[in-house]
Amino acid sequence: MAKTYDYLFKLLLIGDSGVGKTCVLFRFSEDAFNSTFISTIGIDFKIRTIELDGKKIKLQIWDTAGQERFRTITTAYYRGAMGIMLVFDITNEKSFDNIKNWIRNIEEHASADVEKMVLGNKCDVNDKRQVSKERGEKLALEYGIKFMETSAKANINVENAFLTLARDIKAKMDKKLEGNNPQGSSQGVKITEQPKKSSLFRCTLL
Amino acid sequence: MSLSTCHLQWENNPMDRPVSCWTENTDRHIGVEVSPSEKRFSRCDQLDLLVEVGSMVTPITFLCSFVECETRQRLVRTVKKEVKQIMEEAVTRKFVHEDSSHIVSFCAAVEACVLHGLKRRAAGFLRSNKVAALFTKVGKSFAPAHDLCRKTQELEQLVETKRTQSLQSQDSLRRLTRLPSLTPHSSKNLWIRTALFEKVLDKIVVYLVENSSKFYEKEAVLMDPVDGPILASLLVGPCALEYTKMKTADHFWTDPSADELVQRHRIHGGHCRQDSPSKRPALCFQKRHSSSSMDERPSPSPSARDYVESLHQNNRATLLFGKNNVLVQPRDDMEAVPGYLSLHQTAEVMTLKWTPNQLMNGSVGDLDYEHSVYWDYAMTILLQEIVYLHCHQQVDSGGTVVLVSQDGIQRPPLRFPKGGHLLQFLSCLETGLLPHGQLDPPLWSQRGKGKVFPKLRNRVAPGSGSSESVSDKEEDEATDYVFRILFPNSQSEFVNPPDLMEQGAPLWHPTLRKSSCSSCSQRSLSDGAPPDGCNHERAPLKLLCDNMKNQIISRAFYGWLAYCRHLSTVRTHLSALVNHAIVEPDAPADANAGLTPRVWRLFLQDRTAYEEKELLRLVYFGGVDPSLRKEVWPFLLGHYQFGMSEPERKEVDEQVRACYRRTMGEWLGCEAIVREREKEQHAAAIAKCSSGASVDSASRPLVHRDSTFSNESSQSCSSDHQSLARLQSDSSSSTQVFESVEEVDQIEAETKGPEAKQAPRVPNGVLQNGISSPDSGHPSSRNFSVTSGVSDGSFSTEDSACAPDLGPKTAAAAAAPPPEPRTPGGPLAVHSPVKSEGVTEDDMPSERRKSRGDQEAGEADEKTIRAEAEGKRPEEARAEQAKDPERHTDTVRGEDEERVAPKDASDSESATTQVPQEDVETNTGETRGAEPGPTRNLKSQETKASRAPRALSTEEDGIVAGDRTEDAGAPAALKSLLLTDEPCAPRPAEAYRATQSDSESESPSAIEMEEIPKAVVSMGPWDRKGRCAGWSSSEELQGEASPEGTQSTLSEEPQMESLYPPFDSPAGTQDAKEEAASPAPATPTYSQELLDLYTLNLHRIDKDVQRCDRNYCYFTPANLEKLRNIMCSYIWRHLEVGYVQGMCDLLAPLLVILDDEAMAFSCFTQLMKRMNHNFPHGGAMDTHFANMRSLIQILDSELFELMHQNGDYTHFYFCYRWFLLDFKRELVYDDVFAVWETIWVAKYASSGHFVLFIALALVEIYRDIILENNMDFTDIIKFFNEMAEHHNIKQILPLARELVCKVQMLIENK
Repeated sequence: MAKTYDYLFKLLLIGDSGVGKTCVLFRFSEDAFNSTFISTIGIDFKIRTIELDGKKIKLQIWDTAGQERFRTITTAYYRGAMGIMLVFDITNEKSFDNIKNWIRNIEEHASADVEKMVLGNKCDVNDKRQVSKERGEKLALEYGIKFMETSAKANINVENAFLTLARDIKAKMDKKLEGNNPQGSSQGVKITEQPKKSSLFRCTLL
Repeated sequence: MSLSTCHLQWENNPMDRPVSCWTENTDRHIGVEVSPSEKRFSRCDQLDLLVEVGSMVTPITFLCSFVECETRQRLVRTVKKEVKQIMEEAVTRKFVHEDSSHIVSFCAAVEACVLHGLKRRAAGFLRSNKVAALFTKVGKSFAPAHDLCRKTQELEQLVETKRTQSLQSQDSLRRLTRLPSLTPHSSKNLWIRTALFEKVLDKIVVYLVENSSKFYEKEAVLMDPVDGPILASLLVGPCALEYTKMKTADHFWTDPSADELVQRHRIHGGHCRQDSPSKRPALCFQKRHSSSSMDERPSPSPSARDYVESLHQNNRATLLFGKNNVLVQPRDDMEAVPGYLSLHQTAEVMTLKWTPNQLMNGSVGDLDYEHSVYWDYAMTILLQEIVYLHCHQQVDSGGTVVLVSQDGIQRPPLRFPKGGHLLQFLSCLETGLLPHGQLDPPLWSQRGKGKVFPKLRNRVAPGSGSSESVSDKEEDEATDYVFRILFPNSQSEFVNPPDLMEQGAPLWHPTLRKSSCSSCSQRSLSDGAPPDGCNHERAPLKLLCDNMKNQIISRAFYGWLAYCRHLSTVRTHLSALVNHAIVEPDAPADANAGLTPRVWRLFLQDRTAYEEKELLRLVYFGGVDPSLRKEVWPFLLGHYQFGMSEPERKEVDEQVRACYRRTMGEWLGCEAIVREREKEQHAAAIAKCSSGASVDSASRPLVHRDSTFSNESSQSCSSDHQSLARLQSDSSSSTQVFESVEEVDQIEAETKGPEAKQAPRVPNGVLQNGISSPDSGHPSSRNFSVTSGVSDGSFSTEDSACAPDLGPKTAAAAAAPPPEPRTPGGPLAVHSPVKSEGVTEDDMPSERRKSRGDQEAGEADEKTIRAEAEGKRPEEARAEQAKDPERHTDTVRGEDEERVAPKDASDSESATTQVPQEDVETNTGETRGAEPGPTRNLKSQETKASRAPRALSTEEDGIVAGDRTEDAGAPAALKSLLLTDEPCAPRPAEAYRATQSDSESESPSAIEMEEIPKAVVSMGPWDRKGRCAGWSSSEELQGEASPEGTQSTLSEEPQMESLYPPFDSPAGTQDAKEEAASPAPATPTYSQELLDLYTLNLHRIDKDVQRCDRNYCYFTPANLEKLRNIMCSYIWRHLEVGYVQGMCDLLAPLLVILDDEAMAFSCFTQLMKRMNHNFPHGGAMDTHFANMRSLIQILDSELFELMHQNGDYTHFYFCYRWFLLDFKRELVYDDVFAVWETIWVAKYASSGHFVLFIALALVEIYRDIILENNMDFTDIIKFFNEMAEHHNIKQILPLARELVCKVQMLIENK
């Protein structure tokens, strides 16, 4: 398939089941909201291409199953991820508390320099709020990561969140490239020099 | 590159070595297998043409016209391709973008056609833009073209202004934005492009074709009577399309969606479908089609045919060189005749053949053909016999070669046509001679020019003295050469070369080695020949060649051997996947109609009418008639056996129903408690949150702790603990996380201040001499007591900590009590439906609602506090809450009995049955009475009230108990008589039985007991708060109890433990008071854990039930409720596994078909026996992946190679959901039904792993798309996720059955 972008970022959405990961992703990729989403089984991903500083960046966002039982599968995807969105539900306190567990999980399985971000989803239903914004901010501060309250339903901050994460990843990458010599872009993110998939042709002689 | 283009190059570019061209030709045989068929045919056809078409006057003219024809064809083909692309885009994307790359290439292709063969006059002599000139000319006589000209010229001017004017000009910028089509590449084919967008392109081309003589030379495409109109009609389609400038931001760079890919494939890949799914035959050795296509044609005259055939590249001989129109004078009295000269190499010999054109063209009649005189003229010369080649280059012709054989006889001179063919011939010859022979002197390689004649000026041997030496012409290029053919390894043959041509030979000999060496190394650069290919290393080379030959053969052999071994391994591996007996679809009768109502009726009337196997076969091939599914599915799933009579089936139903009701009663009771607890937590959380940030910071540690322990994380943790103990399979990470959090909290708890601890410590201090700890006997249980205790304890600490600022707490506390005073009426109403067997499930909600109605009046305030997130759940919870008190009493009773039972060792039945009951009455009365709180009093009244009806229901349950005795044995029977409400004995799942390490009969008590602390907990906080000042009043109770909870643990974990004793203590109080020497003191901790576990599962179930297939009309709230009931019942019986996402998906279709809770429950239990293994705890998924991998490898090696590129099982994750849910999410409901029943019966009809074959069928159906797009792992995942519910089951199921058959065959004919 034609590669018509400059960078490919792999992002991951994690968080307890039912916090709205799929909806956040759907909002971002299709700009729509569907209240009839079913639980995610296994793994899925969506693609959206954005433009940052004149560069076309393809975001490949992986959506995972929330239940811990599926962690064996989802952790397999931590490794390649460059950015991770931790989602919790502001109307569900335990999903917020579990953010810590998820972070620990990331530390265990993802690469050390992965960009993280915490999203407090469903911020449109303020009357059922169980987790105040301050707590979210405090937690984010504790871990030194960014925090945003979003709503996939009301389309609050979703776009912003992903763009911020992508920008952070890009900034980190650019910095790394600067740090190394200019040619040292061996991070495998610059797609333009990515080797084409090897052809299917195989010698049938032996 | 087709053959004709090879020729073309060859004709036009003399320096292009023919060998490369023929090597290209040699490639054909390999290429045939890998290249698209089109390529192959074009080559073969042209070869045949070259040889056979007799209508051509001479081959050279034939070639010329052929070249023109080919050019025309190519032009039209290009246009065709581009048109196709555009139309495809229009279909798949609904519109075509003006800047699309397809448009650009399309315009270029059309332009090439229009300009082809254009008369110079028409093109406008001086105009640089020929199309513009042409169109302008057309415009003079053709109106649409005229308009076009005007428009295009305007555009051109715009481009011009843009170029000339500086960019700052506002005006031009504005105009540019108005006409944004002026992007750089769009100005390229501006005229064609504009004509296309204006939809006049086809008209103009039609006009051009009609008036082609005016504009075009005779060889032009548009002049062609066939191609011209074709071209014009091709353009009609694109001209009818709408083109748009509009685009979304990322229109260009999104990957095509799965739908688009499929559509595209449908459009252009239709013809490939036939060979699909396996273009490559599965597991077959591939035959090489090494003989040319001519072989198969019938030949009029075998010998002549053979001869002509021998001129081709074939499996015996390699064609090294071929040139037509080489003139030979066969006889002195004849004119020179043109013919086809070819150089062939077989394993042993090299042959030079010359065939007169008359034979090649077959222009002579068939009869004469055999006897044509030209056969006499044809020459076949074995190069072994040739020693010298005399080359003469004339100015006027291509050159002449005279071959001189060993015996000195000169062959007729071969006169090459112009254009370096002589050199090419020599070069081919030299290459062909290697490695055994060589040309002497060798040709020289020259960069950029290829082989050249050797420059010989320095090669004059000192003493040669030969006047005819070719080295005479020193400075100029030599025109005459003598080459000798050497076979260094068999030099003995040429020891004494005939002296006829002696003069050249000695001249070369002295310099032979040196020159050949240098040229050899040169040659090696260009030819890739081994550098040691010099003649002085001939012997090693021969050895090398032999070695190589051996190696190749041995490698081929070992490759084959490995392949065979692999094959046999795979066969043994795969043989487990399918049944070995192949079931035919049409024997004894055609099964494609499936299980029809008629057949089913017959079977029901007379069970001998059809065998079970036959029925299954029918279902396997044709499915179950939709109207029958409800009846048949229980059979297929094993709920009924096929042999069962109707009464037997009814009996089974009854049993199942009873069992289901019991189970439901159990978990409903548990749920009530959970709800209560949760309600408080919710209230607390919301209160906390709403109390604002000011409180937040102050109470942060509290909040933190509280949340950690009292919600899912703590539950998941405790479940982790528990599952570690039980299953040892859960992720340890979360446990670790939790433990560390615990530590943190511990510290926080310490710092938090003494007042939290004070309360419990007071009683500690007072009463040190407690009774032995309940934990003492069960060290392992302490973990649980810690977590569960703390989770409750958090409330107490919080309460006590918050006591000063009573604000939010009191609200929460106040929320808790209301249900209880109201319950007296509740429990009866609620309980009865559950109890009485006659009431159907459908009635239950309504009944509950009624009872709720009673309560609702007083609950208005509570509702607001409670989180409404759960939809209708709260209502139900309330109903169950109402039941709570009753449960409490039950539990008390259960507990008592439990304790009594072991004591008495169940020897005297009558005694025990009487005694505990009294105990309960008295005990409860005692406890309640002793407590000072007013609510307690209330409650004790309730409990008494509620116990009364229970006495009645005991009789009722006696019937049920009869069943139970069978299952559970004496102790259970005993209990069931006593306990109206504890029918857990027959529970088949060993959820907690295992951990409890107690006898089966104790499990019910465990469930009930867990409610005890809960019950107290739910009252505890506010109870205590209510009498905050009056601790002393309850001190005797607390004091006595608390040491029990803390004593032993204090020493180890003083801080932690000190927090929760008050909550264990009430339970302990009862223990202590009633059964000081109780033999089962540890049970409360277990039950707490169980409660947590159940809570956790309940949350998961609720989350998933709420979002299960809401799009499907069946799932109304009432039916979702059913779904939830069944799921909860199943989980209640399988708590050791717990709910895993996806189970709801498996249950939903069953419920839709069966529409009966108990039946669906039973069938689901059956289904889960198989599906359970697929869930993460089962580990069957990896096996599936491995099997899938082997199957793809065997049945579709090409696809396997693609998938294998990165090589591990993660590449089959796209199948994960397929296997986990039996394709439920991949298909629409009706298809799910069909697939499921096929899977169930396939176990008997073809394969127990039929899911694998369905998966394989899915992969195979889209294999071409996967291969075409060279999809990697992520692409495949995306593709299949997008394709969900778009699959065609009519295609997939038959293919899956076919694949099973394929594997069966494969295994059978070993």
